[in-house]
Amino acid sequence: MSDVVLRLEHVTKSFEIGGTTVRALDDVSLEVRSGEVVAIMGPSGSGKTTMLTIAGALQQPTSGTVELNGQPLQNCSQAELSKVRREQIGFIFQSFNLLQALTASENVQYALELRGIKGKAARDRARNLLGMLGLENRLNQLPGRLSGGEQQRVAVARAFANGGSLILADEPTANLDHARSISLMEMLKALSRDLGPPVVMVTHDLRIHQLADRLFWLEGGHLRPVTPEEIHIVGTQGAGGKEADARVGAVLK
Amino acid sequence: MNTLMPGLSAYTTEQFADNSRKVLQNSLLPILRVILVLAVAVGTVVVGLTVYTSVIEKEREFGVMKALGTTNLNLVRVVVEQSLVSCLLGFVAGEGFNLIASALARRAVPQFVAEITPGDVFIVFATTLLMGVVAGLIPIQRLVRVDALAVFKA
Repeated sequence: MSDVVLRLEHVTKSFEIGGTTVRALDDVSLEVRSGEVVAIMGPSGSGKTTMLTIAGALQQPTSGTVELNGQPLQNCSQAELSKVRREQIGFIFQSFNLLQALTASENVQYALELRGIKGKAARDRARNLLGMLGLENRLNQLPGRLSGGEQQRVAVARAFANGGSLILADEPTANLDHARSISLMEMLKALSRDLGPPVVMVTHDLRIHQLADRLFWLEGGHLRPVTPEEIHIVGTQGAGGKEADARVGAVLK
Repeated sequence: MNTLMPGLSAYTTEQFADNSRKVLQNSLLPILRVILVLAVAVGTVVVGLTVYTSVIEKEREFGVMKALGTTNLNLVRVVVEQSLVSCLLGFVAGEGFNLIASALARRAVPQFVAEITPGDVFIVFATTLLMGVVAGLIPIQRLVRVDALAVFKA
């Protein structure tokens, strides 16, 4: 837990909207180390996804520095950023975003092929990863034939497939029920521990905060570390009144 | 013959064939060539629009591919490959139909002459490949503009 994989220093990001400058991120600094799971929480529109996409080499900050394994990203060309993404970063999206024409195995193989791993080696690694996530019997199913939980596990396998050094997850449990959310989080934590890359996760879902190693709160463009006790669950209980059915959000106490 | 029946022209077989060939070359063939050029142009546009529509339908997936690190060049390659596959399927179907139709025509009208040489097939094949590449390049601007950030929206 000592190697810094991702470092954001004094990052700001501003957008021009209708002639007004909106500062989505304001002097954000963060270090993420190998093997840890970091959760970024905060209200809607607070800049969480913007922060994730800057860390993920998908857009550049207005100012500040972003380093991945010591490599500065802010002056890279689009081609260089694409290379960073396919070799060093795995993404997990809220709506799974699997390629619909490809089977579960082929979706994972696609990430491997981008990395130059093809043929039997790619098939074996995809089978191995999907097997670790309990999908050994679903390898040849198209995404449309998989449940939401299964699709998200394929997405997790795809994210870890390239053997990169950082996993970025955007609301990975938003479309899953409580049991599957917890199960997914445990899988992410185990994979991060076993395979090495840290997971930075943007989430509204406080039910899973206990599985993160560190929590951060992002609001008004400012990021600060918080403890679970500082955060208060808000939301509506399900028909059965169980937390498992609740739609959960979070606010600072 | 010309002396006996003024106004009537008499030709030898060779002269008649030569005259017929000239009439065809000067009147029918230019029209057929224009139709051929139009057919190639229309075919290219049809395939191009089909590919373009497909790109729009799959824009989110192209965004995902970009987010995962696929370059614009590779996305263009994927689309050109799809366009080529479409065109080659059309080539196989078209050539197959051509062979069957000419065989049926020969059987129905024995005087009907249809000559399809390997050279003709090769020219059609090469034109098909060219159509596939050109059609595949039609949506290039749309592909380059695909926003990988959009895939983060639910």
